[in-house]
Amino acid sequence: MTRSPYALADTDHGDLFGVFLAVHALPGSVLLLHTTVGCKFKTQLHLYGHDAFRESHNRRLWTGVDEVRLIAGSGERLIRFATTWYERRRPDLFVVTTNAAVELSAVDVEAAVEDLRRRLPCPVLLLPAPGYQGSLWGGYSRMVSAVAGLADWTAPRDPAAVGLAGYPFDRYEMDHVANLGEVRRLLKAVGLDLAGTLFSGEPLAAVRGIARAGTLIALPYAAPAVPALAAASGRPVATLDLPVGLAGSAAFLRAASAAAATPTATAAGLPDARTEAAIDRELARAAPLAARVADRVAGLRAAVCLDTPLAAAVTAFLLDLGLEVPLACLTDGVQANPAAFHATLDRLGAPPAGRPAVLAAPSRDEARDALLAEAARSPIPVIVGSAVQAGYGVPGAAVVQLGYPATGKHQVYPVPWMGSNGAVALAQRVMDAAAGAF
Amino acid sequence: MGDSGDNQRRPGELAQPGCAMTGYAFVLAGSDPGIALVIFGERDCANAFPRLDPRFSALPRWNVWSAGLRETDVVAGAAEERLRGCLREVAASRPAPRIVLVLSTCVADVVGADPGPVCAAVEAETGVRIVPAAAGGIRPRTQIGVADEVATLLLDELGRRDAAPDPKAVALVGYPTGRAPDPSLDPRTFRAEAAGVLAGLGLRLAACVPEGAALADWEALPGAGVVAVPDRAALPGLIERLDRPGCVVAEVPVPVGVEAADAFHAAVAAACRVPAAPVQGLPSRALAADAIAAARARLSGRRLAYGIGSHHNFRAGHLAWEGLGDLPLFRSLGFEVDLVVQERDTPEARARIERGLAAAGLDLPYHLFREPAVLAPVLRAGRFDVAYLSDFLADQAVAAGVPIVPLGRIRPGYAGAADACGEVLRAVTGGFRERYARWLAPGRDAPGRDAPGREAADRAPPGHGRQP
Repeated sequence: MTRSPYALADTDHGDLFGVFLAVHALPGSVLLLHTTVGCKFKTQLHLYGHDAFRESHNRRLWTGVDEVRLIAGSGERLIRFATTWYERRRPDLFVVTTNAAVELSAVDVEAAVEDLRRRLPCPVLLLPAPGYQGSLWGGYSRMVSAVAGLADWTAPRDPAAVGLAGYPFDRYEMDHVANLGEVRRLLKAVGLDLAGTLFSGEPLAAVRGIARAGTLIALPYAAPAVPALAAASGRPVATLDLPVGLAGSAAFLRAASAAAATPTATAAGLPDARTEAAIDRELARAAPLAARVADRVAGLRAAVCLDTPLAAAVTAFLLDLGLEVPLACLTDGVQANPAAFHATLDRLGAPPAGRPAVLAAPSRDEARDALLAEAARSPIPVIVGSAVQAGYGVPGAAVVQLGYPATGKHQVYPVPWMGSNGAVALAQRVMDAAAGAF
Repeated sequence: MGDSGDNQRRPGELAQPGCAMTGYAFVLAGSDPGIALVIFGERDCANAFPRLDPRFSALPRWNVWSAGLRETDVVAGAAEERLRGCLREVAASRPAPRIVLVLSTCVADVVGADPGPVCAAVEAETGVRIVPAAAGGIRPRTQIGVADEVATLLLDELGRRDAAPDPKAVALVGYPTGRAPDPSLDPRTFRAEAAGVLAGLGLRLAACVPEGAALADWEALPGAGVVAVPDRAALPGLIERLDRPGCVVAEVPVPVGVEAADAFHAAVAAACRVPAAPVQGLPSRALAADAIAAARARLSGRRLAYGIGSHHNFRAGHLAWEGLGDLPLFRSLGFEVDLVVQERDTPEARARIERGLAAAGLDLPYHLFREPAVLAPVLRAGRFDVAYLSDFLADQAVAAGVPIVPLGRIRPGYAGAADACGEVLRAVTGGFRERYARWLAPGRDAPGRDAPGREAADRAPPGHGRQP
């Protein structure tokens, strides 16, 4: 099935929202929307319901571009606006973004941004985001590249330190606190220290600490940024799958350890004893707990509606638990990639039985139709997806909201979905959803 | 409220200016599957409305489409061809839409793309009515002006032209008549309550527009012999069409609070030339009156900050009288009310505010804040006990230590009044947050967010603040 080019998808974000999401994840930075007025809605409106605990409204300022300013030139307006608002807000970073209308008509924006860079004491980034360009994670990845360029990569390298790029920090809720705690804990178990994360809700000064990393780890959300990261940093950059599920977390540890070539690493191609011991410890604790879930959910059917990296990692884990996954809808628009999805399942050693049919970037109606048809064939008690699936009305299906947007699931208590602890917690959520007992 | 005929007043001038395309989508997305919207712009423009609004989110078929203009379409002058393909797909969708509205956008305007001929051609080809609307955001408009434009267009397109006004048929125009997030809660809406009272008088509620209007509302609107509108100057295009021989147009304030609801029903009955409704015996009225009395006993003399100039949801019911329509409820609870207005402090802004207040017959102290991030000091200085604000300003209220009632939580009608009393009392007299205030860090998080399962039938979608 191919997606209608005109029907709406679960989400239809271009780069603009991804850039805004990254600005939200970098406190102290401010997005200057050098756009027409409607773009205000394309940013904070969508984060409002997803991040219940941190207001995002004041993270962007609209420069007031209208017809008159488009005709007369808007560069001078941008300069006056940004210099005035610098004094009011004193941001660590200004990110200027434009939309298609401005891109097509305002030829003076780049020069204005150059002027601002000379005038203002804070860095100023220009990331045009016409609405026909990119995707949520594409925009986020552009911010990863751009902010990485602000670090002082001449700093001494610590070979035991790694930097993490492309962590999907989409809200200031405790699931991310817990996830990042898991990542740090796992890395520490193999002798690695997390030097900095793009992005983790920490301000620019902390993010710049990434420069002491000897190695950079890029999660799939930063995959488009890898060349820029390597060029800016001069460090090796390894692209890893998400540390989701038991096998996913183990694979992450092995790959991170190998990429950083920790002192305990043995000769190439041989298992690193320290890493394997760490994985063994993790599994010794988490696998028995997950097994209790597996005993109860084996054979159950679940559908997955998530972006490609998360869909792959979650599907692999569900298959690992013994569920059947008849359908996976990849919801990341132009970045939806069935080949990458299947390759990830293979890398993570997902069992071959019960693997899903894959819909790449279906429209919302196409995805809903497919789910309803599949559920009519045989019930699907669990959908691991987003708040959009909650509106699908699939009979008998409970939605485990994971990723973005999760307007119905907010995390007050730190419960991860990454790492081996996250695997147990996610298994718990699936089991609860299947029983309808939340 | 005052006389909306005041010629100095310019309706909508104290609210946020907005993008008309966004306004169309806010008003119509999810309203009725028979009304399809095509956004003649880039795919990202389709993000300019709340797609997780419960009514829209749960539609079996989403009724919003995007022409999905690509860079190549734009630079090669092929935008209209792209639109043609989109319209053919929309017209062929099943169930077929009754009408397709094509909303132009900034990029279409900038490149001079004209949707008109394509709309006409595909309409002729498919038999589906397709209407272009100039909605580009490069010319910001008043929100209420957009709501009026949407309503006027749909009346022209969908209203039964042959319908003679029926003196027993009442239309509510420009009130908060939104439907409940969940259909099971529809009986608790103001729309349902009004229909019940009218039925008791031998009248019928023919239509409610534009908020919550389905196809049937637009079709039936010309058949209403009595049109009630809270702020007729705010909807000039629509009222001009409805105010014709055989139809009575009565300006009746939004019925928030018991007194206002009594007055509303009396005024509507008078307009219909029937005896006043026997509302005194309504159980919902008795509950509301008790709730108001109890709340007033605890709240009288307290200070309330009433926010205007921030919210951005294109809802006519919230925008009537510059957003001051809910004021009577707070006054009936005995609050001392000051306005907090999102505006820069300029003589021009003060003149606008003062003529808006004068037109509404109000003389209230007001305080200005130039942007959302600087509201907290204003609230602190005003020593307010509670603030009625757009929900996204909650962080400022928390930072100031002032509890918030989010805008949109006050519903009209008797049931709405009773619920509102509970809402305001909970906010003012405190609860968990106050009991544990010593251990809570100010400004860390914001109460007042929508809570799943709330019975706020007319809950507003998240609003958006003015950026200078």
